[in-house]
Amino acid sequence: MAHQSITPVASWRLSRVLGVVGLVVATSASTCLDALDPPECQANCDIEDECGFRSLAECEAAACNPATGAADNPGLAACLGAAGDCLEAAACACDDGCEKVEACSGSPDPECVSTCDTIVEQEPEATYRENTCRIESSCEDLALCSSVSG
Amino acid sequence: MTRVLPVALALLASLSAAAQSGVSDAKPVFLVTDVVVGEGVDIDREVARDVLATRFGRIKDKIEVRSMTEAKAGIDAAALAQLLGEGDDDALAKVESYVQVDRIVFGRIAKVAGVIDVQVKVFNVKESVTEVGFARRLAPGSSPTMVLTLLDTLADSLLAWTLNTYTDGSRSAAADKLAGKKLTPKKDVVEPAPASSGSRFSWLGTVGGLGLGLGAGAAGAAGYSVLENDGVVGETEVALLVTGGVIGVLGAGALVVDVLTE
Repeated sequence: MAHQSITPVASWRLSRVLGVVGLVVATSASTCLDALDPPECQANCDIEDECGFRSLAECEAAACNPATGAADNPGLAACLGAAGDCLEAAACACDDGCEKVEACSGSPDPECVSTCDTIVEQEPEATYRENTCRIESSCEDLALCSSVSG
Repeated sequence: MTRVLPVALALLASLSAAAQSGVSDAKPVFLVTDVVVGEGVDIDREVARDVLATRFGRIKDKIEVRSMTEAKAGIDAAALAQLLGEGDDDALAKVESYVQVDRIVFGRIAKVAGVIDVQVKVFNVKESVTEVGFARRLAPGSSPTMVLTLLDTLADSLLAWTLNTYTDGSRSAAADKLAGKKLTPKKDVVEPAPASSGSRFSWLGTVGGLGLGLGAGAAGAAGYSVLENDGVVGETEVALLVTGGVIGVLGAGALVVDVLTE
């Protein structure tokens, strides 16, 4: 029986087929790994719950897209994800809370975020809740977000 | 009525005395006196004043804020007691102490050509100067309830200014407690996800997969060729094996980088 070496052309074709198979396997594996990650919004609500800002259910109902599981507010989500402690997390809603008031009043306040940061250091939970309420409310309902006690 | 006049005079005198002697309380003391509301603005002046005073005065262990509503109630009670012939020095002393303040807060809400202007100012009683003022405006067509939100934000501005100017700026116990609760930053929410892909190195996954597949293919082809040659390893097989191995290793490396940076 005559033994033949595989020709370079055949080996090239074979390796190309195997390459495509490898690509498909790698892409599928990557997709499966992504599916195992918790949805972004749920991770943020875990932080809110852990820090005592809002319960998991309350947060998910108010801040997450029910269809995709994504956070309605990516800026806030990114800040919460990067926060090293709960006080840092409490300051996360300042940016978007200030933006919402500016958008609803039509009047900018360059000092708003700095003011908010100062007040977070005194009343972190209440300030976070008020700002997230502002972010998630319509302009007409913004005044209802105020919660002062003391 | 003749009994009310001495009370009012005593009030003014006490204000003046406070201004001259200086109030040496550790906490700065503010009296929110009046918010003047212009025509066409749908808010009561007393409501506006109390909204401002309540919100401004909520950090009670750092500053003391009194509203004129409460001061008036005290004055009225003292005046009534005097009218009934029951006035005593204690009642008057309470009123006097109540209006001994370092600073007076006052404000104005005015509508100008559809724009609502809301401003608050702090008057330093001791130095007889306006120390600071904050103003926000409401664009025409905005929700009328936004006046309340603007009052909230102005009260916050006053509060932050006071905390930064007249207190040591230390954090509250609640803030210290939260600062002690450490969080593990979540790698998948550190940055907002772009619409198209998850990582700036995501192309490495494709290249890595292709490289790994090509490497495996080349190695497989070399092995097949060796088998076909009864175990004889020729130059072609060696070249295929080496090339496949190098490409495969590079591909695997690219996949690892892709997974780590995702």
